[in-house]
Amino acid sequence: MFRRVFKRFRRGHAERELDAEVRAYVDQLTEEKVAAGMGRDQARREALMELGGREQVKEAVRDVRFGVWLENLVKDFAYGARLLARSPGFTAVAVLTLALGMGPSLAIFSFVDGILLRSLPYPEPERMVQLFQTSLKDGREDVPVSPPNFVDWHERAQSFESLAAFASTSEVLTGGEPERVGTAVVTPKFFEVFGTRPVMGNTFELSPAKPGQTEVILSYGIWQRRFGGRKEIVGENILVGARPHTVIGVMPRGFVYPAGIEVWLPLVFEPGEMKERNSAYLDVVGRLKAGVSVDQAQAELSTIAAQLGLQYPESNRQFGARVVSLHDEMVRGVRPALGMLSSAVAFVLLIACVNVANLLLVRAVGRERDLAIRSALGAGRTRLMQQLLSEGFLLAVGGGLLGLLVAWLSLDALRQLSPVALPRLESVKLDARVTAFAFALMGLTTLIFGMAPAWQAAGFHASESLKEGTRATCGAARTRLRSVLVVTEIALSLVLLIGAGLVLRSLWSLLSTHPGFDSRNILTADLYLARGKFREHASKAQFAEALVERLSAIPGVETASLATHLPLGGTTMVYGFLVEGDMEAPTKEWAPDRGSEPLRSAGLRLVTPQYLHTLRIPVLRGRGLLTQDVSGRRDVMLVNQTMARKYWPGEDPIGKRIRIARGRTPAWCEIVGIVGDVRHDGLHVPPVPEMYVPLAQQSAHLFRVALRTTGNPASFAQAMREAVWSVDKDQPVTRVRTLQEVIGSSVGETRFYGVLLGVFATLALLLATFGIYSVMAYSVTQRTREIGIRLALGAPTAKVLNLVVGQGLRLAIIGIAVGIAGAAYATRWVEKLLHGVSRTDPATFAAVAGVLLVAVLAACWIPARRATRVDPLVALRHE
Amino acid sequence: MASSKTDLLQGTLDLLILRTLALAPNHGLGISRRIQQITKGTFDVKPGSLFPALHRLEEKGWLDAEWGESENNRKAKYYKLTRAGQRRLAQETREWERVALAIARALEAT
Repeated sequence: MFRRVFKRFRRGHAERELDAEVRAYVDQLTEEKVAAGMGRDQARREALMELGGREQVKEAVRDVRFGVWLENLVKDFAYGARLLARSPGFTAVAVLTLALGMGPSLAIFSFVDGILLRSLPYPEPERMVQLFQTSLKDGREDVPVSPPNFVDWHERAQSFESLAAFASTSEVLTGGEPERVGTAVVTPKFFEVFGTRPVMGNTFELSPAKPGQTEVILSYGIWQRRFGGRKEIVGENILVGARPHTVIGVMPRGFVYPAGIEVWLPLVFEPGEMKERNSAYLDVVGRLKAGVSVDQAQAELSTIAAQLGLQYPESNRQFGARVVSLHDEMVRGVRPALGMLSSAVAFVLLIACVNVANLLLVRAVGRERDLAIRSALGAGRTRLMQQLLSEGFLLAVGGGLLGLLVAWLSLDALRQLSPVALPRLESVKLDARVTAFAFALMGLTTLIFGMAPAWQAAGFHASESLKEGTRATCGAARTRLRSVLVVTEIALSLVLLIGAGLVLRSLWSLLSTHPGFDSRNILTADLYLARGKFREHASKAQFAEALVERLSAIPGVETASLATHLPLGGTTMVYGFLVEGDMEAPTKEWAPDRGSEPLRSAGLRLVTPQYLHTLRIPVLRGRGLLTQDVSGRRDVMLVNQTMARKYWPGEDPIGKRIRIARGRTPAWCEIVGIVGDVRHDGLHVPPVPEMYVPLAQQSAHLFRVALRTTGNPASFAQAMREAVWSVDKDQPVTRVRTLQEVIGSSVGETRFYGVLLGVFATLALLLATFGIYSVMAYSVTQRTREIGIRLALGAPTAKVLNLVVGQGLRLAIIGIAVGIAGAAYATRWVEKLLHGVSRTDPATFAAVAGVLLVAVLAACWIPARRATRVDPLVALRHE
Repeated sequence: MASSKTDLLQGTLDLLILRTLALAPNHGLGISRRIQQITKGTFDVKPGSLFPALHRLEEKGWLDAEWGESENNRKAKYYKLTRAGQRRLAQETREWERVALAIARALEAT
């Protein structure tokens, strides 16, 4: 960086000098003519004419200077290339080291670029936002929106060019091979928000959808795959969810929002829904008007939410609103982790650079004479540095190209390994942007590893180095520099290894966290009941009951049950509820000193009675659900321990009644039992309040099946399907997985980062060990004479060993000390990924320090052994 | 002023400049006048060729430049020959003599 500043300063300086020089010439010429008798003005004019144009002269000089510089540069590269070719061993090691450093950096950069840096592939993506409700009570910031709230937002908000709501489900396409596809129901302005027009046909009419409307829009992918890419598809009818829908449009290739969706249907708000402000299930996206900022929209929406809170206090009081850039929201979860990975590869790169710097320093010793001669021949210090840096740049280019190859090869493996939840995975690729970054990296690394050796080497006084025996004085400074580099390497490796160690320990801890249920031997499947077929609650309840009967009858099945959500199976539905007793003061301000607010919310699960047994969730107090708890009887429910503690601290909730804000006529349910907590949202997320209501008493369109089997659950898949079809032959059975598989994907994220960090840390360790080895080996060679003398004088080999190893150990200890200090600071960046282990966990720190110490000792051992084998006679003659 | 314009090759100009400065340092206009003088008016080097040549020779390390005062007490940029420049001058002179001899022989040959 110094050099760049220096050069820019010089260029300005050179320009001024040139201008002054030309000016002086004109003045002198003028004086000459005046002295010869010409008038001053005439003289000046003639002088300028003879000059032939000031700018031309200056331009000619600039060209020449540039030409000479370029010529030098080419010569430097050619010379450098020749030198490198003459020492293939050194070149190979240096290039390989740089490749190991740059490869991971480029691979991670592909991820960072594709996910974080590239803007979304829609027109003016910076205007696209996502809207959420926020729960003012428990601080949740990503609560979905209810239809009436959405409609009010839509009517009142002025900040948006377009606003749309959607919900993802899936439906079965029949009429051909039955296939389940991701479906989204969307409001009319949906495609407008994304600024994407269909490649064929139209989007939904601008008027809100009416019940019974049966239009559908297809994705490009499914149009090609299932419908043969026929142009006549627009206007044809296809069967979606066993009902005919007319295809009115096809979206362009690559348009998939939300992720995994292939079919878009119009979103129909049933009249009853419009009264339920608490039925929150919609995602909302919008496009801001030109010139409106996200902050302005946020302010407006907060105001609207507050207005609604006053207008409908029972439902809306606890809800605020949040507007956030769509891109930011998509990548929010991943940003800290990517940042951490970037730091990790930066460390690896630094260590690689330090290694190469060391190698160059060693090499520079052999080049002393050559440099001295050049210096005597008139090469200035800058010129010498340019020569050495050109050589370094060639190494960097070699390493960079090899690194690109490594990154390219490993990108596929990385994509396979990465968790499904990684957003924008499709934009991660090795392309021109990454290649450009690679070249920038080549320049940067050249400066990093080349600067120190070049500066040192060029700082020679020619006369001194041509003499013999001056190594002692110059050597001391260089040895110190090398030692500093080694200590840096050790410290960096330590930090990286500690980070990796902590994350891996978290992984272990995560995998052994008790999730609150027994996940072994459970087979699951998803059942989506076709809306057309099952309209009445009674029909759904009947279906559920018959199904449970058939499933339980399968030989080998211990218990069978249904539930709307299974553990770790995705986001839950949150509903507000009223506690009996709140009704006492419906319009008065709630008293803050009571410590409770009029409206609370919890996650809702509809389950069959055997659910608790199937998953071995313990009943802590009261009773579980019984088969007698059906519609028409007393409405009952269970709550989990977290809910009991949160809303009835110090009291017993059993016997209390609450009314859940769901459906057209919510009834009062009595709490009859408390069950253990289950980590539903993820193993690392603490449990939230949850309610269990019998499926027979409230209804849903989507069930999951959970079967507890004796023996391998996967082998019961076909039997399960047959049981379902024996109740309804057209019922699709989808996502048949064991519960273990479902859980597996939840730890996928931590596993991904753990593996990557582990790989990088290992790489860093290897590089650092190699670096130490080469420094130690060189040091031994340096001291061959001294060692030979000691051996000749009768020193025991052990003492010689101690000498060498002791030197290495000293450096190691300093490095470890620095590294520990650094790690204690740096581990805050992996804190988000940690689980069950503190970020300054002493056991991890100690273990890593131990590993590094062992590595250093191993690296010193070989040179040390070699030292003891030195023949004293040979050594004494050694130069 | 020369009666006929004689073209100067770059290498020749370099040689003339180096020769001129071998005796004493000089500034741009001074060098031009001196070359005129010692070539008895054959070569009149214009600033458009002189300045690029001076700067190139400086970049290559054969000349050193320093600001000083000229004869009439004005500031001027003075060029002087470096040690490497001296060696270059000797080298180029030998080369020139070799070439001149060869051409002379060629012209005499029958």
